Amino acid sequence: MVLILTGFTLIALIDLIPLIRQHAKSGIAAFSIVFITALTLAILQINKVEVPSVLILLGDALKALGISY
Amino acid sequence: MNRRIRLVASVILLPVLIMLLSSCWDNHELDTLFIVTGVALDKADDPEQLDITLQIGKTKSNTSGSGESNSQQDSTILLKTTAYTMMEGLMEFNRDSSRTLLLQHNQVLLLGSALAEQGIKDRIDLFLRDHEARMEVLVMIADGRADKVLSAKLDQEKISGMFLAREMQDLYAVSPYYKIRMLDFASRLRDGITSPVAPIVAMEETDNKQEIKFNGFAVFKDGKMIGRLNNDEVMGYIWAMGNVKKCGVVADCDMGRAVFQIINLDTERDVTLRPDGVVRVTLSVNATLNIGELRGFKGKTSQDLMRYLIDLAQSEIRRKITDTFETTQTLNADIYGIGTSVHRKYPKEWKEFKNRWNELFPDTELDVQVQVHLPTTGQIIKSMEMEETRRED
Amino acid sequence: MRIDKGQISGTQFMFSVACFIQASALLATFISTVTLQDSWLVLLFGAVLCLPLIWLYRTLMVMFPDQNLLQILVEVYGPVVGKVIGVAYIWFFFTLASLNLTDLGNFTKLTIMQETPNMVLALMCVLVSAFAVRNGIKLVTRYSTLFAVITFILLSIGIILILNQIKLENFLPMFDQPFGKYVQGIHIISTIPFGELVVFLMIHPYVKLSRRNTTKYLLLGFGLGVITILGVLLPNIGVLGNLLDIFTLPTLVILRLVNLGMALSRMEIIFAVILVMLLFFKITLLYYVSVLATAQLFKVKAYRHLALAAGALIIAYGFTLYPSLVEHAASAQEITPFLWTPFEILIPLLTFCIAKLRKLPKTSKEMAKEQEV
Repeated sequence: MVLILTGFTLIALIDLIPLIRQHAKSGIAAFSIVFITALTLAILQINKVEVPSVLILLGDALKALGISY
Repeated sequence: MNRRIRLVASVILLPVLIMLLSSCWDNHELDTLFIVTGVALDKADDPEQLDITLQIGKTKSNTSGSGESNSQQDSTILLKTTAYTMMEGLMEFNRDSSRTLLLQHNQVLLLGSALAEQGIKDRIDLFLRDHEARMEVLVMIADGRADKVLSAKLDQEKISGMFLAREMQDLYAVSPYYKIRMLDFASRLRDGITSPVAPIVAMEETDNKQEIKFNGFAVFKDGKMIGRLNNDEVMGYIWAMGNVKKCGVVADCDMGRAVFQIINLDTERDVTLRPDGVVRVTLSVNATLNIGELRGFKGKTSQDLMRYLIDLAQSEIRRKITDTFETTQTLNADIYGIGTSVHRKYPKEWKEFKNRWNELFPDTELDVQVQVHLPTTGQIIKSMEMEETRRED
Repeated sequence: MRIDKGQISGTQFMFSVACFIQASALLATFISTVTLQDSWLVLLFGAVLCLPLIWLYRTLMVMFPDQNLLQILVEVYGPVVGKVIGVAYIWFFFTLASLNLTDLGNFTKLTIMQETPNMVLALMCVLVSAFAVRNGIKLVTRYSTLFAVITFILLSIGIILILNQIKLENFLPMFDQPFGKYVQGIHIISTIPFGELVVFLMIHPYVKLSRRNTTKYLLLGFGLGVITILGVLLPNIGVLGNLLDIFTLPTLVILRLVNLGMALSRMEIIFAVILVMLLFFKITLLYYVSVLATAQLFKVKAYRHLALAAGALIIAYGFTLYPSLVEHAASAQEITPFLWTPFEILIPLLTFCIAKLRKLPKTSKEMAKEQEV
């Protein structure tokens, strides 16, 4: 947990600060979307929360539609 | 300024990289390993269980053995246990010993004949699955108990596992069909049509000397050992499969005894379906032989003799191949892969044959055609005995 | 708008394509478990059937020489629909990168480092990749030539060493399986290694190429890739025969069987080297493309600042995808071909048709005219 948080803090320090300095709004937006998704996924997994697999869900959906081998 | 930052950064980075990149998780040091050179599986008193014996080649003369090991010789350690599966056995060994077992250099998997008769299909999973397992491990059947073979004290080689591997390497030079690797064995076991075979070895004790003898082939069907071929029949099998590089052919007749050396023997196989549904196999054997030794043959001129010897060799090869084929038909075990040949040539008909192959194989007809060439006679053209007859003329 | 200022040469482009396909070669179990001894035929058929697909990509590259896939989409479908499809593509790129990263982790574990945690392997790979991605396309593709050549050399050595164990009869009988299996095999081969070339639509603006050379280099790269896969598949089938489909990594098994005069044996390290090298390349490229696409969507100039965060996402996302190799393989055989079809075949085709109908791209003259009106 500590390691993960340190890692993410480092990423934020390295990349977010220059973005804020440049006042690149779209950049900050893009960064935060990617960053927050990654952080959520990481924290969920660290806490042993089962994150549903997108691919398996999609696969089940396709199977339900009858599209599969 | 910039330079100083770089220096500091690299000083911090280097130890981090050294710690991360040295793959601390997978370090194996030689003196913490037990290098397994042979595995023997035997039937235990409880049919569900296995008697597992591991032979470990010592890396040093003074190794710390485990509780259960009994130091046989200076160069090997035998570990024994009884477990339901191979993996459980390995776990037990690892728990009770001071070192980690390394299966990667395992040379041979020996199966006791009692276990082989009981069935081995569900016993070899680990040897395919484990990431240390190699498909080139030799599979052999031990006459009687397999652990006896592993514990044999040999004069020729200190470690019996290595002995078996080297012996097989020699036989491999004779014909690739002698050497049964895990790959070949498992492939046939899975096939269900071609019966697996495996060499039989036995430990024999004479005059306080222990020797390992090669005792023919074991024939399997449905994962169980159902019979065996003796050494002569193995020859017939090897010749029928072709690709023989060196081997002796011994022919005996009323005139004398002739021993030939095979220089090259190739067999072409052709299967045909007769209209009445019988499979007919034609084996065209093409052999180049050398005369190895002659005894007898009095009163033959050398030209006559050559013709006579060719006939003799041909009928001998044909006889051995036919004999072996008949034995396998009585066992109803298609060790040649004739079914597979039919499958490859007649894929449509095969769909129907597949389920009836057990009934069809014993009725299969065999036709052996042998072509023998005797290009040279060795260092002499005539033999001592022949020379005498000429003088009498 | 060009985010990355770098440019690469045609040869580098070609070897990148080759490397990208080669990376899938060692993992070709996906088709060999479906079509067994006929896999090589399926591969050849698939390659031939994919030629129109490659031509389609090439045409898109030539039609829009200065725009990457996301820009093309916006231009063809308009800003809203274009962006929605763009988001789907970004998901596709991230998923591909994550899948390959998990592959790298799993297979390195199977081959050389059994006890090293997946996390560490993934982290090491992504850190190095991130460095390349931050430095742009030039660094990403720089080593493609080297990787492709090393792969060729090592693979040839491997094949030569295993040559004596190939049994030709293992290739027989041909065409023995039900027809459906062949369709499935061709579908898998065309979507999993070949169709993934769609990612090159993201980087073609950075290639210094004329119209004719695009075709040449793309097809050459594709050809090299196909030859490599063939070079992997043929020995696999020839050596393993009917055991082909039970192994997770057939190539590893056959390299372990190499045994020439007791001295030349245990060659599986070749496999590990190639595997790690090629997968690293593929991951880096996919990673780069994901970052680039994200930056493009948000119109961010400083794309390099997204690299580390995207890397973290790829790792975290990768661990959620498949619980085990078995499900990964099953899904790759049954579901993924259908899942990827829209991204790799349908949307590019549709884009091409609409672009033709709407007479896109507008030349600068037409643009000027429109503005006057």
